[in-house]
Amino acid sequence: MGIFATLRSIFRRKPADAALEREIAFHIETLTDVWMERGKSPEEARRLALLEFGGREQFKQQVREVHVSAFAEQLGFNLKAAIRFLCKSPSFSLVVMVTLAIGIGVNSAMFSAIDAVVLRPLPFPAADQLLTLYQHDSRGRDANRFVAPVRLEDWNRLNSTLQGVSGYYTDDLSETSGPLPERVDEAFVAPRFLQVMGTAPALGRTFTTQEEHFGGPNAALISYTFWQRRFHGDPAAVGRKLKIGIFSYTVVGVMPASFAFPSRDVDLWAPSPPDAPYSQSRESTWFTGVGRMKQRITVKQALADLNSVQALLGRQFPKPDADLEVQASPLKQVIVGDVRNSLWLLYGSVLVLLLIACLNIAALLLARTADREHEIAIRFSLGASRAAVVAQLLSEVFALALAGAFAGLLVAALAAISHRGTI
Amino acid sequence: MAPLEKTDLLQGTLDLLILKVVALAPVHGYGISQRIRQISEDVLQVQQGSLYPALHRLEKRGWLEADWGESENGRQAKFYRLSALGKQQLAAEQQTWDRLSRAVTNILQTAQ
Repeated sequence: MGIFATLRSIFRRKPADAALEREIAFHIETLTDVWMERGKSPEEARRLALLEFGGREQFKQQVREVHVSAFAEQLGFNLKAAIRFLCKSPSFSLVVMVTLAIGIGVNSAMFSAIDAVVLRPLPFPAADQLLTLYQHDSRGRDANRFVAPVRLEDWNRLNSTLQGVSGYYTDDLSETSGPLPERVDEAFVAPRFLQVMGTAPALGRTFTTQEEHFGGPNAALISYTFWQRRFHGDPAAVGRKLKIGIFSYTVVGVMPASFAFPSRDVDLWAPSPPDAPYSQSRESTWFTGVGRMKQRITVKQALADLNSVQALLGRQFPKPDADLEVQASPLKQVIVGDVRNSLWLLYGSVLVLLLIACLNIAALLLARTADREHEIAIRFSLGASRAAVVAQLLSEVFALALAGAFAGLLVAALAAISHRGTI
Repeated sequence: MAPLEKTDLLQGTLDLLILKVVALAPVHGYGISQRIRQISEDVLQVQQGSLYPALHRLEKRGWLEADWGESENGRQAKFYRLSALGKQQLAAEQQTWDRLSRAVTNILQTAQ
């Protein structure tokens, strides 16, 4: 009830209107007096006075329009009329609203997907500095693009355009310290991994230099979801032991929930020491390289620099290195990849869908307005100005569009929620 | 003399006439229309449909001020009077009008 009272007070005429009424009444009464002085009966005098004065409502409106506040009143009136109009033909209104809702909803949902995937930067600090690095056999003899640990270390040591080079590979293993074994996704990372990604653990610490060397203590950082799942978010998880495969790891920290690299499924990260005996062959390759460029360095410059480093290595180690070149591409491009184009294509098609919806609605409204010619003609002859008639028609459409857009946002929100759920 | 058609009144002339009439003495809307008619010897007849919007417009611009008072016939009426700003406006508009009418008169006389 409260809201209706508020609405009524908005739509109620202002006291200024009463003053105008009195002003006009005085004028008409005086005219009546004049006619009576000329010998007319009071009724006849009043009739003549009203006749002489002319269309009262019409010019009361003209006076109102002088005041700016008339605009708001007009708007309120038009909206009221528009809502009445919508309720009068619920099926028509519903069809228009649902059409709009679908058109707008699908578009917004699609756009939020594009925004999240294509437009927004990756959730790492200065993510546009990040590169994915691969090695590539220029003679095409070896299709394997992964990088040998020692070569990765050479790239990191010899380049001059990157802040750091690191790498990773993932493996599926079993964690057996609990009552039941659990399958875990483990990412083995080269030294400097977190520095290159620019992300620090949410809890605990990053790996020490010792832990990144062969023979050092086995340490692991766990993901936020693994922390929740396995330790129920207990901060005392830091320092606990995990048994994965044949190795035992100490949990040294928990990564923030937003950190999902190289994938959302990774449960823990552990160092892969490049100085291990099994890592020394320049032909045993397993790392996907990641590098962070220095400020104001372009991908082209970094790539040229890395390739000159690789050429140097080629002279030093002719056997495996001479035919190799470096491939570097922005991390974003690698992650988004082909999805980017299909997303834009999809967006284009839902845009066309929206256009079709708009055309449909336009046709519906046109047909309806043709039916109302009579009504509009009456309003004109009652003294409505052209602007007033147009304003009313527009406000009807506006009310429809508003309701449709609102429903569309609901559709978009639902789509976004279900979309997030599937990832 | 036959009254002029409404369209014969130059744009903006009504404002000048109202300001001038109100300048003579505080007066209500009915009085203004009567006085314009009398002084112009029935040539100018202001339609109420133009008069009241004009009055409210002038009041809104601050050239007129209004008070409720008792009229000659003992009724409550809204009396308009000229504000200080309105006096300046009247002087300016009167000057413009004088120049305009002199110019038009000059041209008409030359043409003869």
